[in-house]
Amino acid sequence: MTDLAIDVVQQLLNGFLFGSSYALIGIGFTMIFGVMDKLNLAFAVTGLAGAYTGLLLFHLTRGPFILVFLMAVAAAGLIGLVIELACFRWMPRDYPLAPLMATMGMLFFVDEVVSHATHGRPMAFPAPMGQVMMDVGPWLVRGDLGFMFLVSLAVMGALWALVYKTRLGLATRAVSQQPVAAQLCGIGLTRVNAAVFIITGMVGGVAGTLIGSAVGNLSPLLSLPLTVKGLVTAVLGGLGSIPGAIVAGLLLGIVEYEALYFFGIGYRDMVTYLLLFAFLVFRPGGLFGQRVGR
Amino acid sequence: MLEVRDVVTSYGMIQALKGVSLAAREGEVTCILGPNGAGKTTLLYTIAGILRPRSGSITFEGRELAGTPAPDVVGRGISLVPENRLVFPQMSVHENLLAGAYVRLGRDRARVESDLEAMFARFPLLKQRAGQAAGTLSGGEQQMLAVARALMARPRLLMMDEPSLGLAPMIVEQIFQIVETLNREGITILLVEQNARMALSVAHRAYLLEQGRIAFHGTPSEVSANEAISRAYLGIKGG
Repeated sequence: MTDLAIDVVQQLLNGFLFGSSYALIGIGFTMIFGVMDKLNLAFAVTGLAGAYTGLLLFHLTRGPFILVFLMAVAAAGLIGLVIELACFRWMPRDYPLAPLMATMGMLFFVDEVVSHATHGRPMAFPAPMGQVMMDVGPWLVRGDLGFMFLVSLAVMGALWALVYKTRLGLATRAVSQQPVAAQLCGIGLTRVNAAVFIITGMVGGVAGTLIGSAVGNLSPLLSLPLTVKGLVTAVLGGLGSIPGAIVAGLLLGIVEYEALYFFGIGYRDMVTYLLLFAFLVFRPGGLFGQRVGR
Repeated sequence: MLEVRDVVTSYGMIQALKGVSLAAREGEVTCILGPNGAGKTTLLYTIAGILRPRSGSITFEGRELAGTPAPDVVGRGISLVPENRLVFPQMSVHENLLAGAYVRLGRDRARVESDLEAMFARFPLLKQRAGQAAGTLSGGEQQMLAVARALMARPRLLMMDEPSLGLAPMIVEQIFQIVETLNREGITILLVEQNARMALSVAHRAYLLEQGRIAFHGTPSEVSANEAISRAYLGIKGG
């Protein structure tokens, strides 16, 4: 095999593994859109803030990674609930734009809080896998990316069971497909919405932690890129579709790593946005979305 | 059983119901006729708790119902088969029925399962389609599903909003047979219909809603005897 082919496959592998974190963030955006029919722009920053909370605990206690991880997940779930209350439940219903603008405000607010608390400096994040590498034929699997992929896979499996095998999951799908009928079946929208914000918040917390440990640090500079990548993932997958977000996240990861290899870091995001643009023109409903009516 | 008194419901500045009073008696089929935009759907949505009345009272089995949120109305024993059926399109027929039993899904699983079997016996077609996504069903099948889903909540009062809308005459016939059967089994029914002839054939009592007000009420034969109403809603030439 030529060196080029080996490199291309290596990038494909890296992108595929790293894409699992995009998938998690995309799932969050897409699930919230599913039940609310509105975007929560503060979703990615929820996960980031959760990861920061985990980091805070780490600095206070020097506790093991699992503790940092659990703290991040719990905190992100709580922040998710706060966002549901502040940006959706307490917003006037007659102004459809109000929640969107509120979540944008929340995004920058959380960003500011983090910047102030950390003086805007990146902070080292514990990496449970260290610099472990695994050889697979001529290729290398980075330990942290492999770890990220496995944990993401577990989270997706748990989400699948929750959405398709539980009463709450049934209610969640009912609300996203037909909210009026859901209420007529006795399903309370506020409780389902709150549950979805908590659960997606926790998923965001997992993503934030995994990204923190793969990158090696956390920085307020991550919040915008993660927000945009999460949104792109959700749109590519088809807003509201969880399988769509998973496939789109992995795809986006691969495209970014290949773009990085061929064009360099400066052009990576440009390729991402061209991909988004192409999708919006040729397949606006996304990979798994319903065809948009004219 | 259900008493609606002077109910006013508005969308912003527009009053859709301008003081509606009516009653649905236990064990009867009560039908509400009226033209498009008269406020029929608004009335059912107000009773079901999807909309809140501005004023007036709604009592069910002697207890106040007005302002109760929709999920709690279901718990009180009232189910609505909404206009356009509103099935959950990407959920299977089986899951749609489970969603209908949502309020007792957690604590009463065994009864839900037996009700599910009973529902499949009543609507064998739904059993054939149990695993199929509801969105792929025909209009008539979706209407059956919407009725079955509402029944899964074990209502004492079943409200149906235009169940014949957009369906072939043969299917409409079936739907009204179901209405009669359910009523014979003791379920009180409040039926909104544009198909006045069909509705009157199963109803014990009829109300005519026009521009947010009750314009007339009486027995089906009194409705038919009224020349102006017959001409407008039954297409019978007066003479």
